[in-house]
Amino acid sequence: MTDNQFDNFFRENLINHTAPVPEGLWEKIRPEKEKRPKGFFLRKINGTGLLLTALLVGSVIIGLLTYQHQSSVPATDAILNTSRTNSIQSTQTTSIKSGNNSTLNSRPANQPILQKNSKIEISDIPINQLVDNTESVSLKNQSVSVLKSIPFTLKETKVTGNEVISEFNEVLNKNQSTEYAQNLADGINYLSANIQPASLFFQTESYNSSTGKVQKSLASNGHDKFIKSSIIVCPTTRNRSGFNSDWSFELFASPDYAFKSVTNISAPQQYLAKKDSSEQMQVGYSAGIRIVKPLNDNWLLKTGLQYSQINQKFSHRNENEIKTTTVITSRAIVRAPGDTVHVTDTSTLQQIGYSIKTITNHYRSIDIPLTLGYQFGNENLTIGINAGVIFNITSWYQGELLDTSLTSVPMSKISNAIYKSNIGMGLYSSISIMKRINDNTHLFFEPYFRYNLSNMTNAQSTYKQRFQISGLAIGLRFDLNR
Amino acid sequence: MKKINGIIGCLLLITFAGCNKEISNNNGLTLYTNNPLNDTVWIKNIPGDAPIYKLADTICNNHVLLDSFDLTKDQVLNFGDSLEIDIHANSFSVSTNPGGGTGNSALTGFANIEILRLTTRGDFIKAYRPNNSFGYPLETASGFFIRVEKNGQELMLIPDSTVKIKYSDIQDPVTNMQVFYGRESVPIPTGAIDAAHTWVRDQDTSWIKTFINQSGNAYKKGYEINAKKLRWISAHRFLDSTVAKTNIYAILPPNFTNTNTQVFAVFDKSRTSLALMGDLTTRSFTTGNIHLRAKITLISISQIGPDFYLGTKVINDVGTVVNYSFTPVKQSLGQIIDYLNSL
Repeated sequence: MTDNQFDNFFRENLINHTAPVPEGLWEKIRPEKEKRPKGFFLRKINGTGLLLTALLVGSVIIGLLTYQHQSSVPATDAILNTSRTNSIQSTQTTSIKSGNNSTLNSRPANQPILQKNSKIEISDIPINQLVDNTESVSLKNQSVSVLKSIPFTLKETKVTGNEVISEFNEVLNKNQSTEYAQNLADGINYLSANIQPASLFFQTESYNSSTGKVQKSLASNGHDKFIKSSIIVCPTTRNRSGFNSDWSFELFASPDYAFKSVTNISAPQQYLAKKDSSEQMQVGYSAGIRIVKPLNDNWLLKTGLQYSQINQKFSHRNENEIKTTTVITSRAIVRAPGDTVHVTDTSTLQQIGYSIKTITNHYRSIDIPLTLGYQFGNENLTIGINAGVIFNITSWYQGELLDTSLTSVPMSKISNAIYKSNIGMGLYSSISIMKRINDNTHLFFEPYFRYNLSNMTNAQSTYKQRFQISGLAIGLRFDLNR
Repeated sequence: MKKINGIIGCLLLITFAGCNKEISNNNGLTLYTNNPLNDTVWIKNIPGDAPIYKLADTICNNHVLLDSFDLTKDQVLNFGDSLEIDIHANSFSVSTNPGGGTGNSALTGFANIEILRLTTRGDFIKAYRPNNSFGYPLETASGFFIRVEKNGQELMLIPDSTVKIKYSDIQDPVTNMQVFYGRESVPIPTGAIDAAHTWVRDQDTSWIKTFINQSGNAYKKGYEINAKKLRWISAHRFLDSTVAKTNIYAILPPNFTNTNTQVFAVFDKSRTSLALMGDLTTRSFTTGNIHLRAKITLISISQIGPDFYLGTKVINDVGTVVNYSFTPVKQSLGQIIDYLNSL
């Protein structure tokens, strides 16, 4: 049997074998040609290196997170049967290499080749040496791993011993007269006798230790180059029958601008006019955190906690303001010729006038937003539309305002008589534009508008007042479970 | 990582940019130009509409005693049991210069008489008739303002006529009191303050006659003044001239100037109240001839706008320090008058 006979055998028989590609696979594969945009904080990154790094990191993570499930191994020129999502995992890596291996060749005839933690190269090994009748080798917890450049493809995720035997039989039928065929027949016999049809399950926990061996073996035999050029990491296959298990965390801050609306109930018109002229809205801000729960690829739920502060410039001309200044006066008192006493006196000078008092009022609140969003786009750029409600937990106020006598009074003294400590519920809508900045982090800009449904003034107030707020939330989204 | 840090930094910068620091512009006071409180100017010649004139008119004692009498008959007008006015017939004539001298021809008919009695230190202050004679402090034994009018015209005593004022004093009478008359400006000011006022001793420097009348167990003690002039009449004596004297200066905050403030010195051991005049050069109120070691109380009365101020400063030992600073406090007019009545 030549070196390539075995390889060719599998290649010829399995080359046309295909496996279904999971839905959404290609959406998850980042095209290599896509280049990261240049920006003042996003440097250009080598796409190939990033992709490979992501694949390698992803492979490790997959190994940690995957579970036994149906696997689908894509039919490609070279296949690494370490799918992220399929349940097939190796517990022991068997590296098969063409070429001589003195150890194996000199091995006694009854010595099993497949041993736990063993490295086997079978290029020149008769097929009967692949398994040993005299030693109990349980493949249940063993692995079938990488084959050199052979397009060894498992049809199904769950590979059974029968399927392997079936494959071998096909080869045997085409090579009846060769020694190789004889060896292969021995192998089939062994498999038939020792392996339960469903015993070729590959366990996750064993894969971890074997992965490194696979890579090491491949590297030592020059296969790593091939794998690097053709490696494909299968994307996450979500459980389409249930909820998406992904979730993200958002941290944002927003400059806000509030629009005040006042409705008169029984206040004097002069008072409202004076109040309106004394108050001028200024830029405020919001900041908060949100948890994002994707329902599927497009819909997502958000909730969290946010702090908002509306700033308002309050200017009022205070009449009859008395300013007291400490003054030091010096006098020369002549009591008699030649008898001068210098008297320095510290006293206070009072002056009266008007002052323009300008302070910044703060309307603060803590809220819980709950929004439903729809987002679309690609991995790099996502646009979303969000709508929902904001529940006010508490609101408090600081500053001054005019009372009905047109006198500025501290807000803390009369806020309880005018403003509520809870302004109730509001509606929230926004449009978000999100840009991926690395594997798990997105930068988003989210212009939003908040419409408060109830007034911030209480029933005793002589007027109604509420704020509508618009802002631009800028923040980061961290994918925490993808 | 650097990118994330940069982004978070930007977010924090935006967040903190929204935190506007509270602005306060309370120090930007724009003064009212015509408000009296802002008037800190001392004036050499105080105009007649200065606040001190209004203040004097406001606190001046208007509780005058009124009566009428027949100009052609001898009469004794009793005002309570402590004051008698003996009027001789045909003693009054038309005054061409009230307070300045005596008339010539006696008038007939009825005339009205009004009497303002100054008994305490506070009375002299309220009447703005301090107890000094050309700068020398006097001790008083009461004073009177007597005005006789007929048909709205003020009358005066004809030469050599007198009006006897017999009154009970609040203190035991002393024997060395003399009659003083108040000097007034010409023409007589309509207000309470007369810048020319001083007590001028009668040319008859004899001591005023005192009396003690017993009525049961009660005694009436007082003086009998034979006044040769009407209007401001008093019983005074000079304080001890042998005692060393000094000047004193009252220093008030800049808001209190000579246009809105009057300062008096009230002696503790004698019925003496002196006015301290505004000194333009030192922006203080001063007076001289204060006895060393005297215990006095400095009293300032001010009116700034609609507000009244009262300041007091007790000086237990004049002479140790000659300048005394104190700050008047805002008081109601009633509080000020009550205080003056308590002196």
